[in-house]
Amino acid sequence: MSDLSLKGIAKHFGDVVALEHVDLELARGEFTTILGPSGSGKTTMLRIVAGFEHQDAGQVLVRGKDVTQLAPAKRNMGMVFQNYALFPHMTVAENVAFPLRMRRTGRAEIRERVGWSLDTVALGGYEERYPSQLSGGQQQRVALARAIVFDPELLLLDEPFGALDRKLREQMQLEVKRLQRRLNLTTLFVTHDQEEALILSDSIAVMNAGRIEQLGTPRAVYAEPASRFVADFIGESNLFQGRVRAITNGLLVIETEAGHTLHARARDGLVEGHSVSALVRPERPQPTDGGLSGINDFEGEIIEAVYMGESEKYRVALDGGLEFLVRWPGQGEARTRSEGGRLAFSISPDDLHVIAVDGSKK
Amino acid sequence: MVNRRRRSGFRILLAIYCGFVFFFLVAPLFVVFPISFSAARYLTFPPPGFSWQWYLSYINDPAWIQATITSIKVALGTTVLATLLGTMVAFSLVRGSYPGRSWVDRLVAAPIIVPNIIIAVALYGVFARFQLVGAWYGVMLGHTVYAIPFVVLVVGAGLRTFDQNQELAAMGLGASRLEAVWHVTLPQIRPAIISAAFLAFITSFDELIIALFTSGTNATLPKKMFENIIFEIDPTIAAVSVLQILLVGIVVTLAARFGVGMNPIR
Repeated sequence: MSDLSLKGIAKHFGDVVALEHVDLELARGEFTTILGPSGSGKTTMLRIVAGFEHQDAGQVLVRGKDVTQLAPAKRNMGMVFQNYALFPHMTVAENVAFPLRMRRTGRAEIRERVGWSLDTVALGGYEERYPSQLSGGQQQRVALARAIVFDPELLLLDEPFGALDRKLREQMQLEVKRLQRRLNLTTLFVTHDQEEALILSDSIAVMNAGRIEQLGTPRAVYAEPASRFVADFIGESNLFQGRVRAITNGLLVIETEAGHTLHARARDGLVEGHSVSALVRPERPQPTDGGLSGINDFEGEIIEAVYMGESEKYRVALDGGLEFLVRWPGQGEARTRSEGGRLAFSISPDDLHVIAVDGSKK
Repeated sequence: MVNRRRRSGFRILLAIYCGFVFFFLVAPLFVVFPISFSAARYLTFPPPGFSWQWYLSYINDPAWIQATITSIKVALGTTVLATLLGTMVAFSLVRGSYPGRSWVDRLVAAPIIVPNIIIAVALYGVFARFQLVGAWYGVMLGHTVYAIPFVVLVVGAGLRTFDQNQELAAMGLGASRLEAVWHVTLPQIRPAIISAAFLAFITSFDELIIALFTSGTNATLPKKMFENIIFEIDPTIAAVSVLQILLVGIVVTLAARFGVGMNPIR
């Protein structure tokens, strides 16, 4: 049985469709991320799960029990808000004790649970401080402690890392992940930050315009996106429009609109004449010595080179006008590739992901 | 250089202007205080000598003491009622969505806008029918009507700056709506509520016209002062004014201490 299942959730605000028949299942201890741009419906979805918003159609089930009609207070979910929503007039201990007080827990047990919870997030000793006396990271730990102290059936995280600076954010992400693993918390996480989603998730639901475009592991949504939108939204990509011209030796021969020929591993359901998008992630191409003898060999002029420390990014104008983005590990001074230089590379057919374009009649 | 000189000239003008404003605000006190200790038998300035006689005349006159007690009762009652009702109205205006809400929003300030005397006459008409004229709680009801808009404005402003996510968070963590408001919202807008209560108290304690019409023989302090001026101008009224100013001063100090001092985040 799933810890959380959403069945056919739909919601509209006036004429605007926020969610359009969304299904989602979370197994015990699973960390699932709802990833999407703003306006994709991800926040609405979280608010419906938490009970702050009511869906027009569909059901929310927690451990098989329909909670659709339950008030937020009765749903037993721990939520961490975007800005933590700590109560500024209460101490850290009072904040963490709040859910227990609302559940009429006994005094002794409250003390014990609050102690455990604060120890869990490494904030023992901060009981008597007020939220305003804490750093951003500490505030977030308090919010986390408050969300887990009552042993919730589900942990909901609403873009909780947005307010932190980069270094702290990465540290907190890993801490949250470790905590979630240790306590085996079934977690629903909402973010627009694809990097964050890839780092944290067991599975990612990519949302667009009120629908889940793809549900899969981080590897799957990155390497084998199901649609152009997913390919474009997650990571950097080289996307080419084209058409399957032939299938030979288990390879699709794709002719791009710019006139290049690409070879990709054949996939079920694709036949000659289909309109497709071909995706190559920038780190996939392998450098070559030049020469265009093999399949998927390309050469062009570097029109932009960006050094980023651990990697270098090149924008390459292929002969024929097509632009290609390549990202390789950063090199020392001696091996600088600079703008105006030539770059030759080759792409393995396995590194080329082909996406069927809907209504391929064009 | 020129710029700096011009700016310092402006600052001097500003200081002079502010000095004048301040002077006009406090000037009456410089007259009232000395007169209250006057040795003369009538209102004269500067007073010819020092004496406690007008304070004694206040304390020894049961009519003054009775008026003071009535005023305090009325003001305290008004404070409780107006704060309670006004806070509820403010909640409904800021949070609610119901038909006619925008009209309530516009009409809520009506008691401030409509001339006091109209309200007073209207109240007199209603109170006469229910035999409320002359009862202290009748005056209290009248003052409550007049004080509610102040409470709504102040508490409403406090509520608007309050982060509603706090309430959602509380409900998500297991609080009912009422518990969320009680444990999370009210403590955070407490300074606004205390300011509003204080305003309600002062509004009632100082109010003359409604009291004039509805208090009958059971006069409030302002009404007693008014009658005193009409019938027997003597410096007792100065002594009463000084005492009234001191009382209000104490209330202000307490409100400031209680409203802000206990809150570590502000």
